[in-house]
Amino acid sequence: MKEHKVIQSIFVISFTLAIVGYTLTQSLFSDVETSDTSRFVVGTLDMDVVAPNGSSAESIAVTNFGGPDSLTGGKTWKITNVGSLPGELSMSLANLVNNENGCNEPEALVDVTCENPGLGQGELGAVITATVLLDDGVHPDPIIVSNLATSAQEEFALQWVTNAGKINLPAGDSLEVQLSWSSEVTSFANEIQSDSVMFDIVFDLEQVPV
Amino acid sequence: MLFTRIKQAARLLLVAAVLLLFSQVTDADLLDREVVSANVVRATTLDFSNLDTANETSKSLFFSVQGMIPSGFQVETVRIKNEGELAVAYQLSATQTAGDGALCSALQLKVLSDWQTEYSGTLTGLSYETTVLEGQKSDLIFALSLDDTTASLSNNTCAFNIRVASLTTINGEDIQFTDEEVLQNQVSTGTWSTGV
Repeated sequence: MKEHKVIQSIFVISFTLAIVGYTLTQSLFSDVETSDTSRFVVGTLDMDVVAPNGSSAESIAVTNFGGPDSLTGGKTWKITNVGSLPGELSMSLANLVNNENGCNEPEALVDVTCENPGLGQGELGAVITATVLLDDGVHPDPIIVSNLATSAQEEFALQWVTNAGKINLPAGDSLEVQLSWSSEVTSFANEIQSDSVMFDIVFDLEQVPV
Repeated sequence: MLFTRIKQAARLLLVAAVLLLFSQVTDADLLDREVVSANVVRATTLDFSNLDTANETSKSLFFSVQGMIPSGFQVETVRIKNEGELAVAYQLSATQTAGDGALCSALQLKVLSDWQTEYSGTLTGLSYETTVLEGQKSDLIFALSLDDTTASLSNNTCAFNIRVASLTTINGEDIQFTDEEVLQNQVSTGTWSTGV
């Protein structure tokens, strides 16, 4: 009976202390701030490829190579990072194909491959020197020098990495890339008549690693 | 046991995170690719052919004269047809291939185009240039004659080629494509007395 009273007393004392402690330590002042604008936003990586004057990007289209005033030319593209994230720009060639397109009489005298279209048989790409230049004033010009033989396709990506490295293009910035072609009159003869070289130019803008 | 494995996994995760943090090389997840496609460079063509003016069949045998005598002559025609995409500037010339040089030198030649005499002179001195535009043709009339009455020219032969060769310069511009066609000719003379 006596033990029961002791336990009761301990319980009452504890309860009383708890009430008193809560009352005495309760903070009467409070303040709450809410950041309403907090949010997670995924950045964007996007680029535009257009002509320097802002018109649509044009492909290279030369149909009279070998005629007067046809051995040199060029095309310039303006690359703009229109996303919100910085990116690393690179360039490569894809689907490079040299076609024979058959042979007329003068070509048949000097060329033993005369199939039509003769995929990979054309000799034109090997006599064209392509150069790629940047207008940023930082990288050496040209950063790529290669012919357009089918076997040279990988040269473009390799030389870009070697000579230009990783070109950082911040959001909103632009860079002009020019591809020029040329050939010496002494570097070819009838073997390239009607030959064609076709290719895609690939621009990649990759998110800068974090 | 389970607790030990969880601890090991947590340690590995921590090490990997630290490595990636300090290497500053992580996989870039965003990429944009733009392709300027279907770029084409195509070589043009230069080609012409010698054709029969009557039926446009190929023609390589030209004059074949038997028993020619002084004051004798023969006429042949040929059509030079531009089969390529470039304008063709070509030159005519003649070279002896066999026979008597004196006879070849004595033969006279006239070349007419559009009924205009473009060349008149010795066979071996033939030189005539003209241009045939893309898709066009050039009809030429040749008149071969012997005016020389020298007796030593009788009972002789002269074989020669008339060469139609493209020029490598048009309007000051170098052209690397070339074409050449040959017309083969044979002339034999008869007999005559000096008084002919």
